[in-house]
Amino acid sequence: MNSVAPSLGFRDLTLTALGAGLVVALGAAPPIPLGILPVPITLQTLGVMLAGLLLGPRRGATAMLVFVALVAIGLPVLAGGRGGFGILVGPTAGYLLGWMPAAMVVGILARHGERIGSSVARIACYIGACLFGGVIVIHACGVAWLSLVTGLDWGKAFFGTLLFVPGDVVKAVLAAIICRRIEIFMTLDRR
Amino acid sequence: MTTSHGAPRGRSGALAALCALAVLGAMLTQVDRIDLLAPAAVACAVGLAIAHGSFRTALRDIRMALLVVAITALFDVATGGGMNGLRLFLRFSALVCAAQIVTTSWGWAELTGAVVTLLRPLDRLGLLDAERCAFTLMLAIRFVPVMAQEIAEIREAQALRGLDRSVLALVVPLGLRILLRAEEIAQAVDLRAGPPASIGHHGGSRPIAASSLSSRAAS
Repeated sequence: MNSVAPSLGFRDLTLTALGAGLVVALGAAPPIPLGILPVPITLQTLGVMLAGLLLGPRRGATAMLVFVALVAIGLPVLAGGRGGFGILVGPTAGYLLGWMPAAMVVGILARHGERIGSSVARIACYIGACLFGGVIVIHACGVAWLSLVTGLDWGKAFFGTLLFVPGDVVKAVLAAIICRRIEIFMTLDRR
Repeated sequence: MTTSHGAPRGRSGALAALCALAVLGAMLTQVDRIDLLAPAAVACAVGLAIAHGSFRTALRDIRMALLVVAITALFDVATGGGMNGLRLFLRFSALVCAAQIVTTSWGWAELTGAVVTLLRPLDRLGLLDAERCAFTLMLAIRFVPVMAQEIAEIREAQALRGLDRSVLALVVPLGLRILLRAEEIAQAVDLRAGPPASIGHHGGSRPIAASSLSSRAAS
């Protein structure tokens, strides 16, 4: 086939599949319910940030696409053993669909960070990448979807999402530290 | 895991169901009348109970999704949304039930085939490679249990060191194992696929039969 976009090689495809597997694996940790709010806190968003940081923008976003496809075909890969098309048509589907652009943004910003020599500055850059991609992009997608499909006021939808921000900030810091520790053992090829 | 019940209905049936679901979703978003939304929600719930064979097991599968819908609707009502909350609940309950009928009635292999078929137009436009998408999906499915096993091994090892509650102690070795394993698998697949010139390690453009890729992923 004559693909305009350069196709991914086997190494990229395996990394993509295993990146999706990483997010599945992190879903094994039990979710923390947040009272009235319908979306629990899970470690899977840490996996989204790590996919962008470790695999790079293209492979990270593809890994998240694969993950969403796994959810769609009914595998219980979401935290709490959930899966199926029902998740993708619900009012909170935007948070899940936002994982694809989130991993891409984290990967793009992390690529800039890898040129920084100082370890502390590089971790700060990775934290910034995770905060922007893994927090702002995901929440923006989630709020936009919630507001558009349910007709909820943007302000109300935004208010609901604020409760998740402290947990996500902690996850962003964790993701940056994990990535830096892995970089000690191997050079990451972000593409 | 959600599995298909009854006889397999095939990829074309799954494809038709996905298209029907998309049409239903588009129609439901255009309807605001509660006297139309309520029967739609009841019909979809009854359809799900029939597809599942039992209302209780059907409810078990969708209770989390319905809870999310209910809480969102209540939030809307509590913040002055009025009847819009009821509309929201009925619309999304119908959609969730209809989506679950699709997930219940077809297995993941048929749905994967249907998703790949839906990706073909994008493939023809050159935006993606549907065969490689199928390969990646099969590979991911194949590795879900492997990842669970990896996590169990790491947790066991870290528990012996008294680090069983540390996220870093779990995720750092997991990330390293994933990256190393991907390299090993890629090399193994390359060796089985033939000389590097035929299938590029970082982006060969030669077409590859989906069945061949899927069998490699499954092996």
